[in-house]
Amino acid sequence: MKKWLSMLLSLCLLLISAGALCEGATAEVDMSEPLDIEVMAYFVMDVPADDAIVQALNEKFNVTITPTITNIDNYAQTLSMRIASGDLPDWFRVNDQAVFGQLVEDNMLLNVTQYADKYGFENIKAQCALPNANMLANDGVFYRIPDTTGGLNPGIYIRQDWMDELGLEQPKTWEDFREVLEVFVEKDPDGQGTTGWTTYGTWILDLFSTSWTGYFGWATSDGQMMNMYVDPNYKEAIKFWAGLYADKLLDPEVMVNSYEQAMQKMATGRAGAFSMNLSTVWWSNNVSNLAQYDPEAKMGALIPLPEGPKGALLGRPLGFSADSAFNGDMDETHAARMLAIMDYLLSDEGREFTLYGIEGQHHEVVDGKKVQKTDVLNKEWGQLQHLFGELADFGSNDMLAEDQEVIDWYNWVADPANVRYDMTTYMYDEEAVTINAELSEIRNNYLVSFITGEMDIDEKWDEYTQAMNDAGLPRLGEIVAEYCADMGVELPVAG
Amino acid sequence: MPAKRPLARRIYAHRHIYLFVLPGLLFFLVFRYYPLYFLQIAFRNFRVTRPLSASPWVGFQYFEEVFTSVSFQGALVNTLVLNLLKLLICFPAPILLALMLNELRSPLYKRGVQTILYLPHFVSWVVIASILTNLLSVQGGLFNKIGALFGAEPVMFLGEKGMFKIILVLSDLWKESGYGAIIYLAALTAIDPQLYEAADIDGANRFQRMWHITLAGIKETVVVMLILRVGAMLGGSFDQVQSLINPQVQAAGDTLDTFVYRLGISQNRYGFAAAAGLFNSVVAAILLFLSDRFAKRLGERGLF
Repeated sequence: MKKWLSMLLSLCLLLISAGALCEGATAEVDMSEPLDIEVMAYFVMDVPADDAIVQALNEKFNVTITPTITNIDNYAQTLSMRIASGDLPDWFRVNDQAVFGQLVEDNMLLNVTQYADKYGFENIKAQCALPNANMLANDGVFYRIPDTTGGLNPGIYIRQDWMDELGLEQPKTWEDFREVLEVFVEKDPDGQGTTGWTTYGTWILDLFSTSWTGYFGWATSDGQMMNMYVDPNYKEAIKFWAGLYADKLLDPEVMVNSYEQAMQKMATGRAGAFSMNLSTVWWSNNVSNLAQYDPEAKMGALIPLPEGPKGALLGRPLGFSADSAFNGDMDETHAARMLAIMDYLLSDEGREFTLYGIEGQHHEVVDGKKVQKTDVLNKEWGQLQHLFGELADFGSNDMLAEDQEVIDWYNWVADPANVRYDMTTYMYDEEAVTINAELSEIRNNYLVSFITGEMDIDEKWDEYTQAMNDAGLPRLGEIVAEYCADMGVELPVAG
Repeated sequence: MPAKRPLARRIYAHRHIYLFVLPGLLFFLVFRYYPLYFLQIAFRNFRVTRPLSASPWVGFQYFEEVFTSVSFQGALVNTLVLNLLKLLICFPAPILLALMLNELRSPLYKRGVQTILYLPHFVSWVVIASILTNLLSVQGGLFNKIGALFGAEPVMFLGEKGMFKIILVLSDLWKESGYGAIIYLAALTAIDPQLYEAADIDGANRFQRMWHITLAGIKETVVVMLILRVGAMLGGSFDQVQSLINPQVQAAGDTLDTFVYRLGISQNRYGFAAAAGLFNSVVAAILLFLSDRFAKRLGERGLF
């Protein structure tokens, strides 16, 4: 009788457990054993193992985190070397699609989706459910955690004091912008021989060219694949940039400048407008640089962007970058613990912790509000958030924006109506890498020559598009079409 | 005739000398010979996530990609032209400097001048590129400011294709000539001072002494350096070019090294990079052997 009763009881327990699992009960993360975790990342500053935030995470999760930091220029190669020598870090950033694609193909990464489901990491799940984040999945599975870039987008800074002094209105169209630049150059308010608009490289101009094409990257046209760089509307954008260059309204050194040099020109009255990231850090840097040169000078921003034939549009890659991935060759306890840390960092509490740190050490409370300590930002973190904040979600630092221009810019780019994404940002295909490498060589050579006037764009456009087609653009279009079909992406229609 | 001692015993007898040689030998074995094994990357579809042995053979696919790349021909020509210019201008400069330094009589002044001449070698190309960019800038650059004093139109030195190679040659001349003179100064110390005394007695003037004794005395070193320089005709200058190049002058300044970095290494196309590197090495070896043979035909000792 006893035997029967105990069997019945066991059966009941089994049924209850199964029922609970079916209803979405999740496993508990085992925190009992101490664990070592190596985190490899690029960052603006070195982060020692005894860093206060790292120590706090160590304590909270019963781990010993060892950060391995390189600068961004060496990161991809250092990571490749680590992979090739069979020494994949536990937790690392991936900023190279080819390497990530190969890691997935060769089953070297942790299945984040599986763990998030099993352990109920709701913040990770929420991050993976962000708009466009599905583009980071492989066959519906996440092997990395999307790290948003937030409001980090190039915009247009402008000398507001010159605008006011010269009685100029905020330009509504690119033609209006051209007229503003003409006045800047003609009047040269600071007497420094100003160039109208400065930036560094043609890639920023390409983002603004979206106002002519209406899309960024790929579209379809009459059922055929169309690449922005051979679109006749793009040709018109290039003609506009070339016109600015010819009339000395665009900095003649636009292709020679580093970003520091371009910043310096804006900060010393040698440029009236300037393009680079219009985010909290860069905005405050540029504003304070200008104030050092002339305390009376006032920085402004063009928000919205000027309108082109297709509206006021900004092109950009999908808004994620350097996402965290994890070594797939580790036991479940280890893997779950790492993801538990990430899930915490993505929570409201975790985000706030990596933005403000510890009271007294990283921030002070003034009138009930947390205020970051400037020397921590300058000397310890090197930016607005701690390494672990950047690893989890770089875009978190958008919430620190206080300058109206930056807030307005963030709001403008957050509106999907104003931004066009390159949906192939996360595409990885070996053949596409080879074709893209050649296409980029051709494109750069011709575009530089078109903008500088070394080549007549009307005369050489067909030769250029032919060279692009000969280098495999149609084949790349087929690969992109296949990729978009697989990912369920509907490309915009060009025209 | 005494019996020859076994090799091991001879090595032991001269163990201190062998110990001195050991680090150099290890360096060459580890960093020069062992990597030769990985040349097969040029013939395999290698990826960092797989062992080399598991990477499939692809024959000459990457060589085909290198040779058919739109930028390869330009990079090859630029490399040859740049190295030829450096051979013509930068190679003789350290010899001339060494000869001039050798003529200085005040040891204190000589040492001071030498130190100043060596210094630029120790400044990295990144720093020099930054200084040059500022000096040559259209807006506010020193050269353009001086030009403006004479009513000259501003020139975008670093954006002019025609000027880029000249800037590369002149900056290399400034940076490396002093340091390059060291080897010739060392060779000069081997010349017997009695030869100069004898020439004085024979009534040779300063130029004749320099030509017939000094130059003749370092000729062998010059030939060896020349052979090595010719062997490096397809390489070198990566740091310099990479630090100074920009899209506007890419067509004029792109060299094989920057081409390989841009299209190979930076895009994780290791097969492509290895194929280009192998091509480079094979051509360099051919040039080295040819120039060595040529030197021997002219009656010089050569390298091998």
